[in-house]
Amino acid sequence: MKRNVLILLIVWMASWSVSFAQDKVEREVRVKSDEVPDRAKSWLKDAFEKVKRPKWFLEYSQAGKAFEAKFWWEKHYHSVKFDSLGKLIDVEIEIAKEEMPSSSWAKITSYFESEFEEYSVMKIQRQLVGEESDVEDFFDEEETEGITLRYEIEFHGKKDSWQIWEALFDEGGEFISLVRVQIRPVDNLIF
Amino acid sequence: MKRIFWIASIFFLLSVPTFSQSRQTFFTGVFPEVSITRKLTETQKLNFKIENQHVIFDNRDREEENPQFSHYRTDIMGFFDHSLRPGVSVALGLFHRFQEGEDGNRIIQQLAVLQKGRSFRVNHRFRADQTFTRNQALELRFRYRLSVELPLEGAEVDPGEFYLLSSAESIFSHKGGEFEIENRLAASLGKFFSRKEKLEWGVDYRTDGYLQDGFRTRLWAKISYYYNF
Repeated sequence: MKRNVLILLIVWMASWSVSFAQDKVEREVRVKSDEVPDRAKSWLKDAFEKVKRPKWFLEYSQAGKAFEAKFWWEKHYHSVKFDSLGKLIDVEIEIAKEEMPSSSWAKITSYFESEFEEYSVMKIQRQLVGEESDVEDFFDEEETEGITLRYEIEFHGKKDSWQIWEALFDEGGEFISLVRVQIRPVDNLIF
Repeated sequence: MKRIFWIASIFFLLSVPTFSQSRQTFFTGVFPEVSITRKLTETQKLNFKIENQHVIFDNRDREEENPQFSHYRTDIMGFFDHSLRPGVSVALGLFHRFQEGEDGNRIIQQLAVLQKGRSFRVNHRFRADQTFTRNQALELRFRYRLSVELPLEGAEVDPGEFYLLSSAESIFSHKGGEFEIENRLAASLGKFFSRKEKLEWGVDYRTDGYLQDGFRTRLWAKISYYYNF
């Protein structure tokens, strides 16, 4: 379910829609590299030369198909998403709290403190959206021109009760959106 | 599907040596169970579960009595579960056992803690229970179960997909001044139909009598249906 919400956010970002889209990932399956469009594989090779065998996934949603490569690169877990034709949609990189710019992090924590009685951050992802050449330059030369940076944060937050949430913030730490993440039923694990 | 076949084959082969143990008690059979969970609020739910065990082969019986289809026990139980934080919950349960000459009642206290990796889930279940059986001493038990759930198609279990669930549980008990240990290993193939329904097929291998009586092993072919609403 967390994955569903993540994809929901990406699709929403990609569409630049004002309203929150109702798209939902119906399913994602592991695919072999030869099922992935050459354009996607070629971009990935250019941007991340030393990544040998990323894990490829195919996602089905109401918005259509999308391919996603997942791999470790420079001690960070990366997810790179492409549309069905192999055009880059975005890159997400898991980072530690300490890697956040301090001014952005200060704004984000003040949002948490104002909206939640208590909170605990589980995962931070840096999202990069931009033209393929710009995103490639970001990884090759750390060039940020043409790149939109955002932070997606998964956290436990307490309002009336504790829930899992996923919030999106812009580069400066300004709040964009918040969705609740549902845990897949655990009845078979706990009873 | 190839992966599923290999995993099932490995578990079958692991269970084979138990058939050759003839001097210790061994019986095997079928173990269907149904679990129904009703969400009450965002943090509270009720669970009702019924389990039934029928013996097909028992090495204590005469040769002509096997194979058989005899009722061993039926357990019914209900739990009230309260979530403290996402993935952490406490539950209180009541249990009744129908077993020839050994009908019993049990009170159960439980703490469950879920951990989530990128593509798997691990659950720790701690239980304490007290069993009251007519004409027998009170039995106190402490149990810990570790469960691991792995998707078999993709990084996450999506509706319509298969998953693998395996668990190991140790049970420490005290009854009438004597201690005992029981171990359980289970592996199943599950199908996640939707957030409402799941079905699991598996094997459940139990060993006890480590400290008292004779060593005993039980192997069950299990089928479990889960319904959430």
